[in-house]
Amino acid sequence: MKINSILYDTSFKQDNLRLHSESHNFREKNSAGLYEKDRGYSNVYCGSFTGKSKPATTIKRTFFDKILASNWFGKLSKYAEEHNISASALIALVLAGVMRPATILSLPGKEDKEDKIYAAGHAIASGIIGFAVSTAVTSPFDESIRKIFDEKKFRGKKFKDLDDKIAELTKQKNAGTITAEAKETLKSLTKRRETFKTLVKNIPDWVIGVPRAILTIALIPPILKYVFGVEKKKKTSPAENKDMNTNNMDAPKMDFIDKPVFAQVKGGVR
Amino acid sequence: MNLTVNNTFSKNNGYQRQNYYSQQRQPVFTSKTQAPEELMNKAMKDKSKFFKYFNEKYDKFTDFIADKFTSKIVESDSLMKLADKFKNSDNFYQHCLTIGSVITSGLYMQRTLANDKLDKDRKNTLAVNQGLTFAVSTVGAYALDKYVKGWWDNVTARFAGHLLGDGKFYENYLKQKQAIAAENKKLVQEAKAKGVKPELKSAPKVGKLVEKHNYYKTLLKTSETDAKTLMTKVKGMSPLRAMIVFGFVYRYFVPVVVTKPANFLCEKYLAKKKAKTEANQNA
Repeated sequence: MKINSILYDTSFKQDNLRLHSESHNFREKNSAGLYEKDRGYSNVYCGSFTGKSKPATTIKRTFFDKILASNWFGKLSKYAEEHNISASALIALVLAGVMRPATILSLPGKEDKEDKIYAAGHAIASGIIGFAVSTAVTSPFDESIRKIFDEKKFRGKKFKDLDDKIAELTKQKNAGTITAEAKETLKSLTKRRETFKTLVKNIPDWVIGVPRAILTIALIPPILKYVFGVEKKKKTSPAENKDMNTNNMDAPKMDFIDKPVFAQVKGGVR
Repeated sequence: MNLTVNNTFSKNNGYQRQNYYSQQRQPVFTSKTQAPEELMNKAMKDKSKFFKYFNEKYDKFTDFIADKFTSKIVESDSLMKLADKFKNSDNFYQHCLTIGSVITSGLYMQRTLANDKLDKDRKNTLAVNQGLTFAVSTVGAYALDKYVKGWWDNVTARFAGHLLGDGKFYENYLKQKQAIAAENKKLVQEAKAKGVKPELKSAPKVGKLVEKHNYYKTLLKTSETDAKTLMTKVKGMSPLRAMIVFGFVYRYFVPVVVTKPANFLCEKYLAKKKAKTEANQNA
C-alpha cells in the first residue's frame, strides 16, 4: 500500500484549485448554513446531539417553520421576555409606525387626503418616540432587575430569604426527600417570584407613562414639521376654502426626503 | 492491496509547478493582506476599547440603579403581597399592559376635560367617548388574547421543538393536548350526570415539557447559560403573544377602525342634543 504517496500527493494538492469544485474557504463561507440544516432539525442546536431529532429531510419545513427556526425570531422572543416594555414598544412601532400609516393611506377617499397624511405621520412619529423613550429609559432598569433576580446581587433581606427558601426546597426536591406539602410550597414560591419579577419589570412603564405621553404630544408637531414636512392646517371656512382652491393649493406632501436630515443619508449621484 | 495513486503525475506536470509558483507568490500576497489585517486588528482593538469603556460605565450605572432603587422596590411588602395575590393568574402580564393603557388613556381624558377651547357638553361627551373606546377595546383585547392562546401554545411548542432540535416535540405536545382534551370532555359529561362542577385538567405547558426534555437536561449540565437562554426564549413567547394582541388592538384596530365611527356617533349625539336645546329655547 503506497500510503506515502497519498500523503505526499495530498500535501501538494492542497493548493490546487482545479481539483476542487469550489475552494474550502468558499464552501465554509457560503454553505455553512446548508451544512447546518443537513445536520438536523434545528439551525441553532444540532439535532444529532440529542439523539432524538430526525434528519431534516423527514421533517416538513414550511415557511412558518423557517421563521420559527430563524435567529431573529429567537432573539425577539428572548427580548420580549427580558425587556417587556421595550419589546412592547417595538411591536407598537411596527403596528403604529408601519401598518397603521399603510392602512390609513390606502383607504379610499381623496377629500381628506391632508388629514390622512397628517394621521399617518402622527402614527409614525408616535411609534418612534414611544420606542425610543421606552428603550432609553427602561433598559437600565431591566438590567438592574436582571442583576437582582438572575445574578442574585443587591438583594435585600426579604428577597434573599425568599430565594434561600426556594433554594432549600429545590435541593430537597432534587434529593427526592421533599414532602408533598413542601412541594406545593415550592411551587407557590416559584410562581410568586415569577409574578413578582413581571410586576417589577413593568413598574417603569407605569412611571414613565404620563411623561412619555406628554413628551409624545409635545414632540409630534415639530417632528412632523421638520422631519416629515407635514403640518396640520387650521380648518378654514368654506369661503376661504374656495379661495384656496382657486389658488391651486395642493395637498401637503410628505417631502421629508428633501429635508436636511435625510439629505445626509441619501445615496446615489448628486 | 495496491492503491494506484500515480504520484509521478503530480511530480512531472503542472501541479507541482503551479504549487511552486503559488508558494513563490505567497509572500507577496501576504505582505499585501497583512497591512489591512493589522489595520483591522488595530481598529477592532480601538473599537473594543471604546465599547469596553462604555460597557463598564453602563454596568456601574445599572449597579447603582439596582442598589439604590430596584432593590428597594423588590423589598416592598405591598408589591410582594400583590404578586402573591396574582401568582396563579394566567393573564398577569396582560393586566400590566392594561394598567399602562389606563394611565395613558386617563391622561388623554383628563386633557380633554381640562381643554378650555371646548364647551362643557362637548368635553364630557368626548371624554366619555374616549373612556368607552378604551373599555371596549380592552375587553376586545382580552377576548382576542384568550382566543389565540391555544393556537399560540401550539406555535410555542413548535418553536421549542426547533430550539431542542427535536422534530417529534411538537407532535408529542399535540398528542398530549388532545388526550387531555378528551379526558376533560369525559369529566364534563360525568360531572353533568352527577350535577357537580367538573375539575378539569389543564393543558400541558410547553415550559414544563422543555424542562423534562433530555436535551435541556444535558444542556443544563454542560452549559447552564445556554440552557437559561433556551428557557428564556420559550418563556418569551407568552408575553410576545400579549404584546402582539394588545398592540394590535390598541395601536392598530382602535385608531383605524373604532375611532372614526365613535367620533361620528359622538358628533351625531352632540348635534341631536344641540337641536333639542334650541327647540326647547324656541318653545
